[in-house]
Amino acid sequence: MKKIISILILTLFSFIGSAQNIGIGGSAIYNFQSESFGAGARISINPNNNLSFVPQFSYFFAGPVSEWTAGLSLELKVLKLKTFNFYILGHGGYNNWLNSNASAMEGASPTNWNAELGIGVTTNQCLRPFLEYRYNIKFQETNLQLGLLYIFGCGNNNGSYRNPKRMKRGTVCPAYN
Amino acid sequence: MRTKKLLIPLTILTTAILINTSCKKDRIEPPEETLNEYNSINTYLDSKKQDEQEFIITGPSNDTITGNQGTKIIGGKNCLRDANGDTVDYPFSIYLVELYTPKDMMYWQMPTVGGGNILETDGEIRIRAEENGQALTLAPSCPYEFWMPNGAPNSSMTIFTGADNGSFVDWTNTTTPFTIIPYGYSGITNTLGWLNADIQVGTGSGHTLSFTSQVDDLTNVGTFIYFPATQTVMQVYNSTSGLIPNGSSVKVVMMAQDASGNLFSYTESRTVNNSATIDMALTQTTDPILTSHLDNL
Repeated sequence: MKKIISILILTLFSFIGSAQNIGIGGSAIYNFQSESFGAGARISINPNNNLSFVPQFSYFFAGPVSEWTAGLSLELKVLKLKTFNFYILGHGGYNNWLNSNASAMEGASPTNWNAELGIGVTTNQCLRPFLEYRYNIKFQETNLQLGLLYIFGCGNNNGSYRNPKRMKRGTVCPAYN
Repeated sequence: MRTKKLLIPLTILTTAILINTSCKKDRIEPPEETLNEYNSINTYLDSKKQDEQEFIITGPSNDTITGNQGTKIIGGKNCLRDANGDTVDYPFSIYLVELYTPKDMMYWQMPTVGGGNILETDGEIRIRAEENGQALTLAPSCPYEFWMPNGAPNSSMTIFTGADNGSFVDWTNTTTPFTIIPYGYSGITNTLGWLNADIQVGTGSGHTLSFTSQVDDLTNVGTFIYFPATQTVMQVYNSTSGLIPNGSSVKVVMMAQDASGNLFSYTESRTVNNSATIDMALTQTTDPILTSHLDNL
């Protein structure tokens, strides 16, 4: 059983590493209107493509509003510079407003479907800081996310069997020597 | 490229500003406090006020009339003129309102303030005359005499006349003194309408009292300030009083009635040595309690 799990993990990581098309990250979030702090986690699919799919989860735990949201973002890079990439994003998600009963807002409900639009900036490196500013259409609130995204298989330049430099050297199987 | 680099932060900044202008804090805004609302106090005050008395004058034998509070009107039909300036015939009607207590002045909403100055008063009356429903006036140089009962008349009192300025009746000093008679005051008037036995007390300076409430909407609340020393009644409009002379001892009476007819009041006594804001809350009361309070001001 352990062997199977190990093999699966190795297979997955080797896939991730080879494709460089998966990133994983986390962020700190501040909602300006609800005056609440939260944390987010995300997986970025095709982070190097112009269009990335980013399933994500956020949880606000400090401040007047306590809630979590699970959803999917589409990120479209609109400007690629040497160091930075700028993108616009759209996000749809399911929101669970945990303390909605404490709010005086008319129609406050614990379950909501949210849509967000936003802009973001990130880098081209393997460990990519990112900054996003989003507008929540339903609640008419804005939030700022500051986080880090790690791209799997991106920086394997130090001993990886996929090290391009090593590949360029043309390593030849000893059997052919 | 430089232009592009400049455009990016500009775009971001503009977007942020545009977005922020349409943001709401609804989720964390505290609930709007609902203030207790009241109907106009006029209904209650009108239900309590002294009736206007009508005297139908059918002949010379009943030209002189006496009101139920003791006011006497001594006149005759010869001094009365209709709208065309013509003399009138019997019968005609004399109407009289007598306000000799602060309670009655409050019910009628007839404060004793003239030109912003409080007046010491010994009573207010209103005299009207009609023939066939048409208002009559006094002929020039043909005054009516009126007596106002008083056990201790003040020789400094002069006759003030009242004119409705659209918001309240303002008093003007005619400077015509009363004649002190055993009955009280004897006055002469060349005009019908509101008459008042007064001495100006206010000097154009003083303090104000303002009223606020965290629980009550004061829009329709009737607010009065009574000065026991001078029997002055001041009505408060828009939650801020007129000028109150420094050191005045006053009694505040606020009255309200809700949509169900329940009565509410707030009362307090204080000496006014500076301007102040009174944060008050009305409490439910009853008509007998409120009436008794006004009787004992």
